[in-house]
Amino acid sequence: MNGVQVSTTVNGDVEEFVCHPGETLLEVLRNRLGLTGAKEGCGTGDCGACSVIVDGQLVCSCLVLGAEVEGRKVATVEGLADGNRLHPLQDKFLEHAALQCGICTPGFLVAAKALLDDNPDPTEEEIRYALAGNLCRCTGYDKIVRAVDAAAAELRKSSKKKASGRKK
Amino acid sequence: MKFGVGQPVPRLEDPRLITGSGRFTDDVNLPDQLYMAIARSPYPHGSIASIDTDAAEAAAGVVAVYTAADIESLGGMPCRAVLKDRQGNPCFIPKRPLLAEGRVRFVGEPVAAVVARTRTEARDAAELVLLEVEDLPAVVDLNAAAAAEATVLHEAHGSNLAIHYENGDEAAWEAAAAAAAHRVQVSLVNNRVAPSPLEPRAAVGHYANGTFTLYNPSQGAFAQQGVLARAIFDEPLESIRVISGETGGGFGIRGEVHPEAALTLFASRALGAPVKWHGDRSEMFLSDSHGRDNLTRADLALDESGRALGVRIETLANLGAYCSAVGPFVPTMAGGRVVGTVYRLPALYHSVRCLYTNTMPVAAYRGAGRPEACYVMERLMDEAARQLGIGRDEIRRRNFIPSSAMPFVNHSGVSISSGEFEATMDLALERADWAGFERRRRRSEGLGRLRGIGLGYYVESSGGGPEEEARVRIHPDGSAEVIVGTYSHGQGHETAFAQILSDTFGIEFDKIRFIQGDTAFVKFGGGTGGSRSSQMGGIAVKRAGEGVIEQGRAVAAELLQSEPGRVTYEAAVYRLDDASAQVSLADVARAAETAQFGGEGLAETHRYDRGAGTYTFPNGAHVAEVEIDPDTGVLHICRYTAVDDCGRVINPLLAAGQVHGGVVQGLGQALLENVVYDTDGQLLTGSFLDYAMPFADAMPDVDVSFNEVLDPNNELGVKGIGEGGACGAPPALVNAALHALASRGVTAIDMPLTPEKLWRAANGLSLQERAG
Amino acid sequence: MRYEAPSSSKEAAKLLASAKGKAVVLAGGTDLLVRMKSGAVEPDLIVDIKRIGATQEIKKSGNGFKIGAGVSGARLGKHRALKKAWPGVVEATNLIGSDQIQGRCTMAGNLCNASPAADSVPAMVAANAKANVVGPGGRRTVAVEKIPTGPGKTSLKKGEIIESITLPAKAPRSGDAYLRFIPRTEMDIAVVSAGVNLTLDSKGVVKKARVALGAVAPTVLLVEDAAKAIVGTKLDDDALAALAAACEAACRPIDDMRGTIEFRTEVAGVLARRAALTAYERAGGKK
Repeated sequence: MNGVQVSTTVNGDVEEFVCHPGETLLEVLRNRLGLTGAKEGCGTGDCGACSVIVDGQLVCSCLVLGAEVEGRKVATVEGLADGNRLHPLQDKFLEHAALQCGICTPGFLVAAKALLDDNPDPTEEEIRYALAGNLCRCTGYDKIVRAVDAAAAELRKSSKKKASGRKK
Repeated sequence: MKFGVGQPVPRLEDPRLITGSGRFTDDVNLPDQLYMAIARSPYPHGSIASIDTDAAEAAAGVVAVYTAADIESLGGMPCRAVLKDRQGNPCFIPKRPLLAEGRVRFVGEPVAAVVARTRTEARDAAELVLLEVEDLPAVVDLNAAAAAEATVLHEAHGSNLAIHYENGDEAAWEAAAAAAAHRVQVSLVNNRVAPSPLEPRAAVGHYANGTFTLYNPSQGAFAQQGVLARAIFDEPLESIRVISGETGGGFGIRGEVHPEAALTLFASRALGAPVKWHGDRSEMFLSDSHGRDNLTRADLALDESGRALGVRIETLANLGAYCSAVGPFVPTMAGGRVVGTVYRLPALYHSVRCLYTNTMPVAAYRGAGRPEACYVMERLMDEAARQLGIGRDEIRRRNFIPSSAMPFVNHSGVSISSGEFEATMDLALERADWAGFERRRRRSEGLGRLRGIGLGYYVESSGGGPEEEARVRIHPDGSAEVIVGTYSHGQGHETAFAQILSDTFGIEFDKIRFIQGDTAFVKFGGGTGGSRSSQMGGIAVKRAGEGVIEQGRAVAAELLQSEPGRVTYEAAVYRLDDASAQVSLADVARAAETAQFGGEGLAETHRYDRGAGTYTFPNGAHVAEVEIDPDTGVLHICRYTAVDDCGRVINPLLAAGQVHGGVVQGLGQALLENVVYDTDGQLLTGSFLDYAMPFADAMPDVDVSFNEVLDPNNELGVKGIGEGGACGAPPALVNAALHALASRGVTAIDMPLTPEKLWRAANGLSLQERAG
Repeated sequence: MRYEAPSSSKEAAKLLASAKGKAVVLAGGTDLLVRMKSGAVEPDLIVDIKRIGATQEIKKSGNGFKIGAGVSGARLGKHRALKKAWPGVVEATNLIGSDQIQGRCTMAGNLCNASPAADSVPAMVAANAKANVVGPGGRRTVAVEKIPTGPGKTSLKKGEIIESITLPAKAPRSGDAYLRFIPRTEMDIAVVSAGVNLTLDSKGVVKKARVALGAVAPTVLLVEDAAKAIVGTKLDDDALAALAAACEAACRPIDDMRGTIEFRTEVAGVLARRAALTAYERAGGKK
């Protein structure tokens, strides 16, 4: 194969790998980098289970070639928590039982992260539309929407605290 | 108790799943593993002339190619259903081979298994397997399959009819119909759905040192072990270990043993290396078992006042090309147990013809027969209300089985033990503001939209297999371990069972360790399905825990130099009744491991037997309110209300989650989902684009509440909650849509209610859409 | 298989022109990778054009907006000036798939897939957009409706790529809108769609109009009769009825699982009418 040499950053760590030109980022993450949080639900960009963030942009990693992430910054569900401290989205997913079987959960968390990075105070409708690239067959979405809403409130509270802390 | 039964305790299983560290089967990789891919039939029906594997065998990286001829030592996939027709003839169940033998009978049927060094090589080589067939006409449509001149799928049998199941009394029905003041008829399609759990099926098979190990998502590893050992490999049970790690949803399909799992084991034994298979989504649409697919005509006889005198229900049920593990059981006995559902029906005749067609086999899907049974009665009730000019709630009121008549033995001989149908309905009507509908309808009308509200009442008979087992052990450090035969694949049993044990022992929640899904530990169990886990597993767990406490009491008595009758137990401490001395549960567990007390430790296995033929009866009232744009047919769900009676609610958070999920699956079936084969037997819905499942944006907030009527026959009072949503939502939604379309003269429409269908209905056009 | 990510359009054109075997252009990849997975396309060379500077820019000038072929739907949706000038085009592009797809998909890619159901295309056609093409023979500018020639087929020659798309400067008192119909609200392929672009005179009378329909013919249709039906009117009921009738008359749709001829035809009229009303309002017209 005409292997492609790639150097990229995944969850803040520099990663180097050689991949096949046709190999997807999802395959690279799972098979070459051992990051199995992103899941293959369809492989055609229809379910969102493989969602990751590349240079701040939410994408399906099954629709990105590994070769394309040369020099980019990739964020996956594995990088969501800060060490042992869960991200507020993860906390709220726990608290609200926003997952059942858990196969789609990493994709939802990443998509929700992308939403809240962009829009810290989404309406319920905005949450539902933003998450409409992710299929879940178990939860009926209700608790996921509540959890994202609660996490958004939590994040707003803590960013306000930080902001007022700076003023002092 | 903070973490006890009835509390909204967050789930124990979640931390690993929200950090991406859950281990699903595709996350399992064994050293030196090979990869398998399946060559599938592109033909719906044909006699196999030849299977040429030469090119595949010569392809890069290929290690082996297997066809039916290579796996003659293996048995087929068994059907568990045991049923006979009225004349005593057994259901015709043909062999369902792992790889096609002699004929191919549906598109996607496995023909050859290719094993190679990489997944890509295996897939590329699988495309090189050349199947040649002599084409046979494809039988897709149920009516066509039933016709006398139909092409027969299984020639030896002579027709496509597997069984004609009958129940009730046809003569009594005829008499009731003759005496009736009103007759109401409906003709219904219960559309074929693809269960589609989000995790595609996967398997890793490993044969080493005389033992098979299979990593495989399932709804219960023990059942898989039994099928593989007894029916397929003819090996002792203990020679096969099945490990189900995290399982990405089940909904019925993972109660089945699919052929690929067995083939990885076979290949691993033959090749001396682990073999992994991972299907992709388009393959899942072809080869995951499907659900539903019934055509039903029903006829309701009523007296002057709208009280039912009898019902006749006649169904054609599609089995697909072969019997799945539960195939003919679902549309007959599973649904038949609640035939007539929550209504008093003096006379009843139920007939189901199960037919073979050139399509993927149909198996259980959330509710398995019960949603179909409920859909029939709820459509009949609405149609009767319309024709008789009675309120849709009122006609139900006049026909509900009252609590005072319970236990109520229905026409299937099943005793409905509890339920307050009218009260539950009234709660739902109130929460849905049924009375205030007209005001909202006028508002919609002003915007040019048609608004409707609809009701769906369901009852289930739950519990599945009547036995379930749990083993509880107290470790010397005072922690508990529980091994169950049920299998959580999203339901949260780890949490619910820990809540039950936390209550039983009075120990902290986080001291309870949960083991499931590995036959090295699980020695018996019916798995999860049929809303059985809380009632079956839950009680087995509770009783095993109580057994442990009793065992411990005897040990404690000796340690305290007293009589067991004088020892009390509370919150992990055994005390003498005069409080003069005490010993901790941990101490007792430690003592029980010494030779003095037999050395077996403090452990109890309890096999709970509910009693054959008994069930629990989750039930509930669901109300949907919709708005339809008559110019485009777009339907918007404005409001959805569910009031469920699942008996005691162990964990409201988890129970509500089950309702949400079931409702959205039911709405998916009612609105969007439809597996379509064209008239030639080719599958047209092979991706998430063509097979439309609901996303978050189109789904409503679901108002969930419970009317807890405790089950009188088990000490937890639980009934089950897994399937009610899928039973209640389709009739609620369809009844709401028909209510909205009533002003346009529409009285019938079939699921799924696609915009085009609604647009046609609203504009007086033929509902006959182009076939395929 | 080879992967190349050239830094100039010229270099990309050279790679594509000299390629042996099947060469494909990778922009957002949301269509290409699906087709690669299914085996529908098995490229020998993949030319990723996103490292070309010109494909990454949104440039505003007196002539309008030049939108690079690598600009994602998500970026487009955040560009205030563009959204203000061409809300219909931006909305149409933002309707291509989910947020994940938006993170990657491009207008140029949507155009080059040459699907009659492509969401951004009717809006671009209504907007009178031009494709800026670079090839071995140099540069040329082509009206977007001339790019697709049939399902999956384009008029681009071997070695040619679309480097960017130009939307004209917004005329005073003009407005555009796009509507589509799909079975689900997100993540679906249009069953029928309509893009309308109107310019009014100072009295609110339609002076110029462009009406385009998607998914009702092998390529996106520019329906001149529909435009004629509303020019010189204030979109009164008769004009709207004439618009819908002209759209219906232009439809040559297929019959398939997603929608029948009858449904696509009639809903095309409904959507054109609704899109026209929105465009009219955006142009400052009062009803």
